[in-house]
Amino acid sequence: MKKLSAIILLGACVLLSGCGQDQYAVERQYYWAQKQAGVIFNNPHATPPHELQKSIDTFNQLIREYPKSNLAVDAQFIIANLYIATEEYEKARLQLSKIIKIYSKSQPICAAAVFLQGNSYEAQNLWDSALEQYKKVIEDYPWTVKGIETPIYIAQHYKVKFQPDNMVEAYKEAIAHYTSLSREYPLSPVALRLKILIVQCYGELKDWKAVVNTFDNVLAEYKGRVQLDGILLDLAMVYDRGLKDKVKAKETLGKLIRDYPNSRVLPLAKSLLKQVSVK
Amino acid sequence: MPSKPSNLSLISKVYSLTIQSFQKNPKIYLPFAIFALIEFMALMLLYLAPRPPLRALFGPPIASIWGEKFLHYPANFFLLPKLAYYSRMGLSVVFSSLLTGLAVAMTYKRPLNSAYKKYVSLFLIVLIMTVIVFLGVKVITASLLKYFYAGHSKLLFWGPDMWFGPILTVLNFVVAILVQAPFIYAIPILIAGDQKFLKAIFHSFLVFKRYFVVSLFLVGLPMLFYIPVVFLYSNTAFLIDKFFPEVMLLVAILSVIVNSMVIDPLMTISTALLYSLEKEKI
Repeated sequence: MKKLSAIILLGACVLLSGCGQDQYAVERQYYWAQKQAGVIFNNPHATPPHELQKSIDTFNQLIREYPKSNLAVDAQFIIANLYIATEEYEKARLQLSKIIKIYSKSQPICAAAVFLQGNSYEAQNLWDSALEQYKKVIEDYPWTVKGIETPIYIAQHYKVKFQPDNMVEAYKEAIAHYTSLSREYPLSPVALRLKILIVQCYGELKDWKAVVNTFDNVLAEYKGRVQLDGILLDLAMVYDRGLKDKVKAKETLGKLIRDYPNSRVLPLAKSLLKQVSVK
Repeated sequence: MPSKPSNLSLISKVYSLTIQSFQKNPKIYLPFAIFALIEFMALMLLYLAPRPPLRALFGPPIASIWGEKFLHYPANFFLLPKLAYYSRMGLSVVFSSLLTGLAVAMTYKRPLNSAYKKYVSLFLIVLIMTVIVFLGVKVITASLLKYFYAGHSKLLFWGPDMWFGPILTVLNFVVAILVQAPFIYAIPILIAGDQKFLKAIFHSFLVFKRYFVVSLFLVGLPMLFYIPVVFLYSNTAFLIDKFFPEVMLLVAILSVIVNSMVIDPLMTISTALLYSLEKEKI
């Protein structure tokens, strides 16, 4: 009798597994909607309007059926991206405004939506309008991933467009922004991330002394708090390649090898030390 | 003293007897069909593992061993072949050991009790074989990983793409054949009632030594039927992308059919009949 009950229970589990409208069912529906959208993304200009509409309807249906799923948020963004890919910029921005309204309590979602609005202007070659949106991301959502990444994104735009003066200005603004943010939560992991971004900006400006100073500052502040082997390796590379100071590069690599004998970057450090010693 | 028949004539004789056995007594096929059914049911459970209520049971081990992403669609279909492989290993030890014993008992026209009574020995024989094959495959894979992680770009003219692709597949086949072949007569020896567990294994090694080429052939030839499945499994990403993720479930079902309904019956009955021929001579 017990065996029969166990078999019946197992059978019921199997049958129930196939019927539920669970997360797996959402993922399945989302996968197929994405496949459909992938065809449009691959060749947006050759997409007939009804195909675009069909794809958007599929995502909207998923959003309606599973409004609380995290994939519903992704679906909203895919609709906006579909409009951008097919150059329907106004519709894209309307969709993004809708996202900001629906998810007004979620800073990361709103930041991503405003950033994408900036992208839509950029795709239209309307840089000033795009910049306005990007500044909004930096000011309104400073602690989101997008908020932190955007200052460097702006500087890189100027770099790609061969506007060196604007690029230098943008990197300086980024450094000032990151410095002021890092002061709000000193010694936190996010402050460390911001300092690394400051180093990245100084590196782009080829201001190697400022890079070394920032790294030294990080090494002093975070000693004993986090693993600093990666930073020591980067610092050694800056000494070697940026400042051409072999002695300091060797010293830094020696410190890395001494202080972190089990580090994952040890083989790289040793090979760099060999190279520095040979030169 | 009669001269020893050539390997080729012995192989053709054994296969002809095997086909006759299946024709005269189709019931021999039943244990293999039962095992295929068990394997199929296990496969269905693994397919449904990411969904409630089975997720509560399968979710934690899958997430901790392979990662949480394999509980999501369509990543779960990338893991399905591996799960099916491990499931087959476990089921072989627990069920196939007994069912193979039953099939051999039917072939020898012995009472089915002879298999039931020797379940522990049958279990241990299959367990030993499975563990050795598993470890052999693991050692080869780990050695290759260690070699290429050490920074080498080539081994015997080939790079990691070739080694971790077709060559590793061939090596796994060779390991499976070389491990199974010496043990393959242990079950017929046990069922024929001639020897105890350890002696049966020892005797199996002797029979394997005597019929070295024939044994390798009888074990290796049916395995060739598995090549299309290996080819399909090695193109999982392509199949999922070009068709649909569920195609991997179909491939896994094909694997069950080929393994349990073709390879196992051919290998088991042919070697059992070769052993009976050997016995007749004695």
